[in-house]
Amino acid sequence: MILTNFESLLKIFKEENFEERLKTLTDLIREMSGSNSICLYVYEEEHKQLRLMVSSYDVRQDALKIKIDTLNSDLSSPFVYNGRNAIPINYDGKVIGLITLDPDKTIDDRTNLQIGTILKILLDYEKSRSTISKLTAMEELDKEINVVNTGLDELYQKVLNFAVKVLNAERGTIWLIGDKELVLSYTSGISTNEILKRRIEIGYGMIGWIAKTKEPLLSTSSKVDPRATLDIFSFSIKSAVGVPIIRDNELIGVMMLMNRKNTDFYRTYRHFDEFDLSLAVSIANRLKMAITQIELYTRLEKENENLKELQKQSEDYINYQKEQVRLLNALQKILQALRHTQDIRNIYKIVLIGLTSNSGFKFNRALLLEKDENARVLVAKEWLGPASENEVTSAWQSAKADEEKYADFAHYLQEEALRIDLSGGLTSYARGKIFSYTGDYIFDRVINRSRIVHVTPMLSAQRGEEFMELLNLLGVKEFVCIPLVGRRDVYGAIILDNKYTGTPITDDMIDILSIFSESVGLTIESLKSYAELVEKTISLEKQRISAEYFKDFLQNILENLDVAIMVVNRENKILEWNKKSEELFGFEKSKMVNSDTNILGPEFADILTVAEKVYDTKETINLSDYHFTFDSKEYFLNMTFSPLKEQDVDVITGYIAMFEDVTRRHMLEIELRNRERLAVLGEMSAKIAHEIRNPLSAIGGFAQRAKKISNDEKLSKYIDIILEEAKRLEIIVNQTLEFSRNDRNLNFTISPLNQLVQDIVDLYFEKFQLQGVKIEFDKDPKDPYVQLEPNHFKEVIINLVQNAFEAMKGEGVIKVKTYSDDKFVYVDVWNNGDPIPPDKMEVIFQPFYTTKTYGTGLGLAICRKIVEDEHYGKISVRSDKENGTTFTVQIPKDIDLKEV
Amino acid sequence: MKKEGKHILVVEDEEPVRMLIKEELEDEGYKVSTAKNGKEALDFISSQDVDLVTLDIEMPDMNGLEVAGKIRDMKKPVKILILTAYSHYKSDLSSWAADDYIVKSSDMSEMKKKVKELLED
Repeated sequence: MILTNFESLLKIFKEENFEERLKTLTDLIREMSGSNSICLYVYEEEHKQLRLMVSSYDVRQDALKIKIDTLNSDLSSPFVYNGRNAIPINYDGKVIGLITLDPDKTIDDRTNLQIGTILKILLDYEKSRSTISKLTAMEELDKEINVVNTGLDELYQKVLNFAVKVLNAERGTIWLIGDKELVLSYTSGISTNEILKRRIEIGYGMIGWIAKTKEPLLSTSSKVDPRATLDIFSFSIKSAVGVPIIRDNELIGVMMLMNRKNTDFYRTYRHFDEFDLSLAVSIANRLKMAITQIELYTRLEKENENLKELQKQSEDYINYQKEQVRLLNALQKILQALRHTQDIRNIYKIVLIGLTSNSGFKFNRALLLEKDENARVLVAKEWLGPASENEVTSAWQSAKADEEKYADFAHYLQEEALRIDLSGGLTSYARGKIFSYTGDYIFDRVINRSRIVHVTPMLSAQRGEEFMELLNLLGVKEFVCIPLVGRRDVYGAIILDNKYTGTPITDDMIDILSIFSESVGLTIESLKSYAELVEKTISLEKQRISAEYFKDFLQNILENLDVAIMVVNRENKILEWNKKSEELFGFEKSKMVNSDTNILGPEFADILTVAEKVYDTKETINLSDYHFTFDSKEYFLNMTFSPLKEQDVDVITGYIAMFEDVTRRHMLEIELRNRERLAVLGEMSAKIAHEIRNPLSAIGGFAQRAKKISNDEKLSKYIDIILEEAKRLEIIVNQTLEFSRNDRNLNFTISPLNQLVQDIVDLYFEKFQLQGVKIEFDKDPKDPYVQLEPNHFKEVIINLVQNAFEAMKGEGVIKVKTYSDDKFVYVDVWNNGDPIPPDKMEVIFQPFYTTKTYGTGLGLAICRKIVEDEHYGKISVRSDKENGTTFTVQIPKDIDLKEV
Repeated sequence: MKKEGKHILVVEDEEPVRMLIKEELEDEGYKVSTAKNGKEALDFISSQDVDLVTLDIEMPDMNGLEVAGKIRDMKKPVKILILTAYSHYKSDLSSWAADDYIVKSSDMSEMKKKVKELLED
């Protein structure tokens, strides 16, 4: 039988575990040897002993482990042990085991060799399996260590537990570097009473050695290890693995695993080996990495926390700022509402509502205490807020709803103050309560020293008995009491609390309340003073028919008079210069008043001379329609100069000059007179002309007839004279009738201005040329068309051209020019004959004025009538020696202007 | 042109003028009668055939324009020429009965021309 054949090996390795595999091997050996009984020992080199692994019978206790030095054999050949045949099993020349058989049984050398091989394989295989198992376990480590959400403590403990488990250690410890010493920080499998020392110096014992050298340590037997110190733990250390925990070249601690346990996997020694050490080193590395990660993570977390904190802080700050601003605005609104209130009761209501409402200061309750000056006490007047816990929700909801009806908080306050009745509710609990403020712990400060008193829960607890009555009334531990401070006095106090919400009262709130306290106090003060003031003012007002008022009244009258008024004193200083004076003369009042009269200029010299006569006459001087040229404009003024007398004294201290501008009226009167005269003249002329015409026709007609039958030359010559004169008379009559007629049959058409004028120029061109006069026409390049009565218009131009010709007295040039602007067309007729004397400029347009021997004196009058009355234009003349004489006809383009 | 057959009535209150017109027209070969006022004129026209009447306007008893209207009422084929001292009657003519008008003047040629034109129609 061969042990190493396939069937045998298969049988052995099919077994589940090391022991079974050894048992099967032993069975096979027993069969081969034919022995009834068999024992199998494995040699444990470290302990120099043979350990019984398998036996087919009950072996004596002392034979379970056989120290080889107790044997009488050097194990180089079979020997007898306890009467049995003991055969050493070798591998590679070394003893690895021992078989005992019945005394007569043995195995051959070849089988022995085979057994050696198989046993070696089995031992190595077991060791390999143990290694693989540990390596596999190592993979679990990463899963064990969850960096996120793991604290350092947890990490150390977990890793230690893991190391103990993987290395099959009985106990484990982690020591961390403290203040120049090692501190026992984590343990596994150690009970407290087993610990003798928790702190050791660096360098002390194995643990101290590791810390000092920063080297890993493997001790297979502390008995022989000089570094071992056995006074740290009460248990004995048989073997140990220790590793330094190093990060960034700095030792942070030591992990120490002690005493290896028996495990599933058999090995010939019990102590830790190099592989265990390498595992421990590896675990320590992982630990180091995890610590770094956790620290990093923790740092990040912390940074994150810091950031969050920072963000929260700034948000808080913004909210705080917002709240401050909101409160200041609310205060503003409350003050605004107060300003519009005159009733002191409403003032107090507004204050209470403002302090408790949602848009205001949001206090739960506000109690008003009014000062009674005489009794030197504070009297509880009104208390606003929910009366009990049950009312809180509904009261605040309805208050909020009311508030939201108003866009403006101030408006809400005013309206609500008028509406709300504070006599019932919370007020009934406090009404009539009286607090002396002299010597009172709180009110003395508030009223006598105008301080805001903030009663904190702590103050209530410590000094509560000093204001027990108030605490009982309020039923809160925290409240604030603010004075209503005016400039002169303190008018009362308000107590505020947050009974229902418990919101603490902040220092910032106190700051704003201090502003509130003063502002409201001032308002109350001014209201109270106002009432007094009104009374005083009314009586003053009644007394007063004051000079001031009267003066204002007179001043008003002066200013509004439609007459320019100047008041001058004896020193020629102007005392008064009213609005109308400013308008009429263009001098500003501010310049005139207190100035000397000579500021008026030389034009006023005559007027002032007349005015000053009142000093002599002592009576009013009137001048009407005074012709006055000022600033190159003509005025007609009605003037009155009255002496200015002191009241009740007959002394003239100056004069009052009144100027009424009657220029317009005066002009209208002149115009009217002119027109009336002309109308009468026209009518008379017409009558006379008619009366003349009949006899004239007869004279002329019969003279004509006489001429026909006359043979006498002299007679014929006389008749010619009669005919000439009759003709002349007839022209006069015709023109007179023309002028005085009221033509209702004008035929206005849109006519070409240039063409009309050209026709006339053409008509006279030749005739004038024969007389040595040239006529030139300068046409308007715009060639305007105008609404005209063409025949009448031509008559005007003919008249002007003929007049010009007649003025020439011989050779010369007549220039006719047409031109236009936005509003008017113009025709200029110019000649360089003798100029018209200035005093004749106006009269030439009047009827029957003529300088000519053979003129009717009606030509220009007719021209004017046509231009001005029919065409609403204007005819004017400029004349002097240098520039000659120009008649200008100006006719409006716009038909609408003619309607005016 | 047959002037001889034409009969003209000259109505004029002022004698010199009446005489002047009569003589001027007679020189032209017309048969000329005269009337001193409107009444006379109307009586004359109602009893005799007249081809043309020259009417002065300003007359003491009856305005020439009124006379013209009455002549027209007779429905006789009479031409009426108004002689006036006022040029502005022209505008009233269209509503009146006269055929034409002329402003009085010592120069009779205008009148004779008008008379001739009217009688030729």
